[in-house]
Amino acid sequence: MTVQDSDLNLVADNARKVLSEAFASRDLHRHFDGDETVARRLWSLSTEMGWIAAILPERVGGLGLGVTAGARLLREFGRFAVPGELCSSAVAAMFVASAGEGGAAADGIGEALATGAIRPFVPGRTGGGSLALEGGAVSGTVAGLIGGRDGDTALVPVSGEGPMLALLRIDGRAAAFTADDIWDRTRTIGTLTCRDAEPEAILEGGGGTLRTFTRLAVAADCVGMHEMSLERTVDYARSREQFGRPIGSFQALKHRMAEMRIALEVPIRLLDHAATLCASGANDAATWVALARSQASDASIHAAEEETLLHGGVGYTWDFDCHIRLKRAMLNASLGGRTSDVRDDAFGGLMASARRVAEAEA
Amino acid sequence: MILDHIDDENRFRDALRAWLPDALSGRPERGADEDHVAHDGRVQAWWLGVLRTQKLATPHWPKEYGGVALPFRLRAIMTEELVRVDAPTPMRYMISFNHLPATLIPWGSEEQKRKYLPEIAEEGMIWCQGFSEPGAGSDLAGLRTRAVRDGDHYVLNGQKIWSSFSVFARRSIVLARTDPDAQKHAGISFFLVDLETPGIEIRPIRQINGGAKFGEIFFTDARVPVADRVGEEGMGWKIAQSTLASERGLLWFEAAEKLHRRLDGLLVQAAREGADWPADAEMRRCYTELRARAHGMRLFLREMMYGPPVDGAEELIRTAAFKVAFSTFRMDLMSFLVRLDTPDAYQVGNTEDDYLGGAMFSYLTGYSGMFGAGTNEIMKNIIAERGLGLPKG
Repeated sequence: MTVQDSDLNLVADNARKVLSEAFASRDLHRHFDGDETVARRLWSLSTEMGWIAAILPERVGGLGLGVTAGARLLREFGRFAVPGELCSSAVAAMFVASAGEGGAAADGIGEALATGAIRPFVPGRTGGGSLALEGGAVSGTVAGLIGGRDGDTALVPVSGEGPMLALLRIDGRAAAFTADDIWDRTRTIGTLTCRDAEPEAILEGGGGTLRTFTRLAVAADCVGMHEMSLERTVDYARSREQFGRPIGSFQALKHRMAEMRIALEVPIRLLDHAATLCASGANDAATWVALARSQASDASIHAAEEETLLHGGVGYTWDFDCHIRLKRAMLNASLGGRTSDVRDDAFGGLMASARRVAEAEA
Repeated sequence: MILDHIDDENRFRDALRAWLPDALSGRPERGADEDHVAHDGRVQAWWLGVLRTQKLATPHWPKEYGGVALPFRLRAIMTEELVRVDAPTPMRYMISFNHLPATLIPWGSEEQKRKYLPEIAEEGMIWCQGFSEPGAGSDLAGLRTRAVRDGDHYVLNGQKIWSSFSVFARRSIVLARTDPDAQKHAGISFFLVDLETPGIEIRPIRQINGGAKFGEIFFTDARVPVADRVGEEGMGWKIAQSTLASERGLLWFEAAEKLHRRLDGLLVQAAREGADWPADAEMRRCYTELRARAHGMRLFLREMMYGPPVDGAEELIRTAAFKVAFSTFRMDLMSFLVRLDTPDAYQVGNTEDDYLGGAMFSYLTGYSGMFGAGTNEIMKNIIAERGLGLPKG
């Protein structure tokens, strides 16, 4: 399915406009400092705007814009550092969108996502532990799941007769979630412990694909954050004055901002490219997602560091946004695998295709 | 004729692809006592002759001056196909093919176009660029070479430096000051200069890569006919902007395709020969990072070439950002190739192609990309001030 650029722009522009009003810096800080109403209000708004639904296929009540729309939305989510449940739900929605027709279990998950009925955790960090499906019930422990504070379900790999994915309802008894105390308070990471939990849905395979979408989501998140780091830094450097002039007029500083912009160019293009390959089901999609994820993550960490440094003393305060993006960017470096491993996965994909070329020549 | 398929991109590509192997088969070998530079020149001239048989030597030029007005997309296809088979790049003709028409077509008189463009298309006249001076590099408008009107001539005195291809060139475009009292950008005029004019001396400058592609041009009472001034007196700075704008586009595209092909080929070679470097985590990850950037650059360029138009500030940012990103990428790639410790990391090897030559040669040559065509620091000023809206220092 080909999605028009104009539709994607519409979705992204709308999200940017809505979020700039509904999730401004003040709201971000309130959320970061533990006010639970902010994320809930935003979740209702997201459902009303149909952001997650935009990604999902029409047969489950979505708009059918697919993975490319998902990547564009996630870029806006990163720009505003939105609460984690929006991002993890978008990952699950991209997974459903790529599952194709005939997956009744995936469709069930899709319908729940489209109406905002579930806010799933998905695998984030490469945590310890594993879950096993036996006699229709799931037991075990898995760490490193990522989502939001109001996460109510988990879409996770389980081993049964072969690799599978299970959607588990977190009920606090058969399936209990313990959140880690993490620096990036825009999102939630923790451990799921299951004792004979009955899954709400089971899908064959899918673990690798889900991880690919997590990586794509991280790439998009990083690009969006990088854009915001640049904008905020430029705004600050234009208004903050020392020696009787804006600090942005000093070449030692303005070149660093120019470099932030230059460093954005490749990740933006790789992100679009990777999302397009995912949407078309290309063989090398996972390789390009890994390339986009690793480049975007490195670049956004540097951008967040520069944002913090170029803000001087106020960059070191809790009151400014810099530290929020810095913490989020640093956590991103371990999502979907640590960056060095992601890069190695990409190399594996490139090498496999180089071998095919070498064999064809011989 | 390949040009019979000008209306169909796929057929054009197929016809070109079918023609190329035979066309390249006559590539001149280097003679036993022929030096690399002379051989390189011979290969470039030969290849232009071959392209001319298909009217593809200056395909982008208008028909009336020796071109075939090949549409931009077909030019890009042509570049892709030529890179794919390692066809020679006629680098020495860079100013002749790009800067001259970019200047003369909008600004030159009909007489100038008729005189100077066909001789490039038909005979391969080599031009160089006399813009920079010892005291006017990044601050080009601070140039001091004087042109004083004397009847039907201007008398030129001064010195140019970093003039690319000047050691091979017969003609040069030159910026000189005609009005020392005017505001600095306003007192400059643009000239077309025959380098065999008495009073002109060219000295090569030896570069860190061993070559002497550029040189110095000294003017001592050199007389240039008024008919060889482009545009009005004092318009030189404005005209030069058109000249400099031609340093982009397909030249970058060709370079980006070459570097991508080089990286791609390296891995295929590693797969074929069972090279040991993929087992080295540092080398492997460095390679992967470079591959990502190589493709990112290509996507970026294609977006600039074919994507929706953007506003003036964004256009400026993109062009400057690409220049910095690409020149830096090129250096990082070549540095990686040297660190791979292949034989051409320390042996001189191929010194003919700036992008595909030996690893150390290409690494050394890469420095020119960091300061040439506007230093990267000037590019960052442009991005910051005209793009991001930061105040001037």
